[in-house]
Amino acid sequence: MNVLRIAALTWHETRRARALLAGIALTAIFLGFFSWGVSAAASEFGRARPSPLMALASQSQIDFASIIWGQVLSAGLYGVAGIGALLAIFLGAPSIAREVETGTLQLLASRPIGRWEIVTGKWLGGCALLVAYVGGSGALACASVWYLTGYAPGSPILVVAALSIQVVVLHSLTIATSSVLPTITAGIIPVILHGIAGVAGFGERIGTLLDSAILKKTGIIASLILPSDVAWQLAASQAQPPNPLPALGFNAPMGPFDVISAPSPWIAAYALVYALAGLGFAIWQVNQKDL
Amino acid sequence: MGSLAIETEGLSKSYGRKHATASVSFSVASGTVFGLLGPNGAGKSTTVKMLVGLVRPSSGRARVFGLPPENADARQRLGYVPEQFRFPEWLRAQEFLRLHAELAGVLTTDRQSEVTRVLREVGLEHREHDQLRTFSKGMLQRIGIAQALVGRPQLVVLDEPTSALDPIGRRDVRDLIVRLRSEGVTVLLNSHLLSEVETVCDHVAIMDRGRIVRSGSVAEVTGGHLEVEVRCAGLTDQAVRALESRWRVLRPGVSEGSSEPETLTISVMSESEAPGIADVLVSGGVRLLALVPRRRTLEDVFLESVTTIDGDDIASVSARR
Repeated sequence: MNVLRIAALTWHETRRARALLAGIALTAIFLGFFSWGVSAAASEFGRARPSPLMALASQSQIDFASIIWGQVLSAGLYGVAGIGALLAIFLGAPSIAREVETGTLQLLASRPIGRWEIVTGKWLGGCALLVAYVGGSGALACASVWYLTGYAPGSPILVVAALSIQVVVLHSLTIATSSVLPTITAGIIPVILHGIAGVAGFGERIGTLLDSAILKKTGIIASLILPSDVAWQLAASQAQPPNPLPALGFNAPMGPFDVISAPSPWIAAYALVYALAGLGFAIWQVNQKDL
Repeated sequence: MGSLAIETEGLSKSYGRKHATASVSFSVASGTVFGLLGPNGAGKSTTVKMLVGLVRPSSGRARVFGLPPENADARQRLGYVPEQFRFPEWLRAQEFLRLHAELAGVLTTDRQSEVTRVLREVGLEHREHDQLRTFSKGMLQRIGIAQALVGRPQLVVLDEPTSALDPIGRRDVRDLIVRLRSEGVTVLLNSHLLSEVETVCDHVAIMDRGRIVRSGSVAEVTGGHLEVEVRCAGLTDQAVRALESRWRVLRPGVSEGSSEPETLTISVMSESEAPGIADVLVSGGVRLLALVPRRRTLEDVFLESVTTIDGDDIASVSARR
């Protein structure tokens, strides 16, 4: 019960600080621009003369339109995932560190409430906010593309679930760093790690294209250190139709957001264990801490 | 004396090689007001934090109503105002207090009346719906005290509760402490304001460099120790030595042979020793201008008991000035 009280407090703080309103307003603007772009692309796509690539695709019985709209949807989701990742870090960095620095945590911790309840409540409140954010905006991006182009991913729920895993992983890591480091450092570390994971993810895709074992291995190791980019890849792979090129003998992506080979669903389980480990570390740290 | 609200035994806390407190032992009887005194860095706040379970002792133990401080039942019976903290200023006064009422286990049906009651206790009932960010420093300190009173705790721990308050606010807090005692609530008051402590506390402990250097009832700590203030002229070292052979003498630095009158402070056990001091001075050829016995205040005892950062005792530093 106390966990839910603290979680509700996180929601309340975000709302009172107008962060929720600002987030919703700016995301609405982003989705508005995205939908306008999709609408413009859809009308252009209908008028365009078939390109040689389209003709080749048609001969090979490839649904070229689905591939294009899958890429367009992935571009929108890439924006949602990027904003979600930053929000996960911004929300997590001060959650424990700032409260320890200002002494706000002292008042809560002197009450008949376990420190684990405070940390878990903050984590839960943050995760709920972030999942609501990526869930809501991811679903709106899918709905917009479906309405304007008729394309819908195989399972929009899996897309949203994968996006949610990414923000939960990053938020959990940031809560863990926030339990041991000052606010700024607690935020910088996940930003850099997330950046490294993103670059390593690109490296892995290039490695797949070039069949380079070292590049592929680098990506896998980075995914294990921080499974945030791999969660994005999972979302992107769910947002697009299967890539037909490998079946035709070409190990190449169909576009900038194609993942060539979809990550194993087990990575989702690993990411969730990773998130729980981050939470567990934060609880352990706060339990040890002199406030 | 009833049961004990607080009991500590050899409570020590070290941060690396630095000792914040060393073997602090004291007890506070239920329904009394206990004052913890000491200069900055004496270890008072660390002691208080160990009592409310925020800091883990390196050794020794603390008990609150016979329970470890981290025990939920002990905390249920405790209200605490930390020395330095910031409020979640985005909350309204009522929301902040309702949250603490929830955490303190106040029943849903009683929460609003409890919030109203504690706001009235600290004179902020008219600011119930205002955000804490609009409050002055003194009002925030009052709201801090209000949250400590939520749920009618049996022990209230106040760490420097009046540092941001004006004289009226300080008097209100003193009255509140007296009222709490009359209701059977135990109060642990950590304060620099010695007159405040002397007015409201039943017992005091003076801490210095992480240790308790003096403790007891206010009467015990200040009583039994009288001072005689002597104003005289033509004081010689010989006369001072004669006094020092029998009493503790504090003498501000004045050059020998000066014809200027000077003031000595001499510790005695009773007023009956005053004529003996006069005899020593007069027989030494000193001109005695005034001799006034006076009972020492808590401030006198405090200054005598604690040391400055560089190790000199404060009384001798004051005397040298």
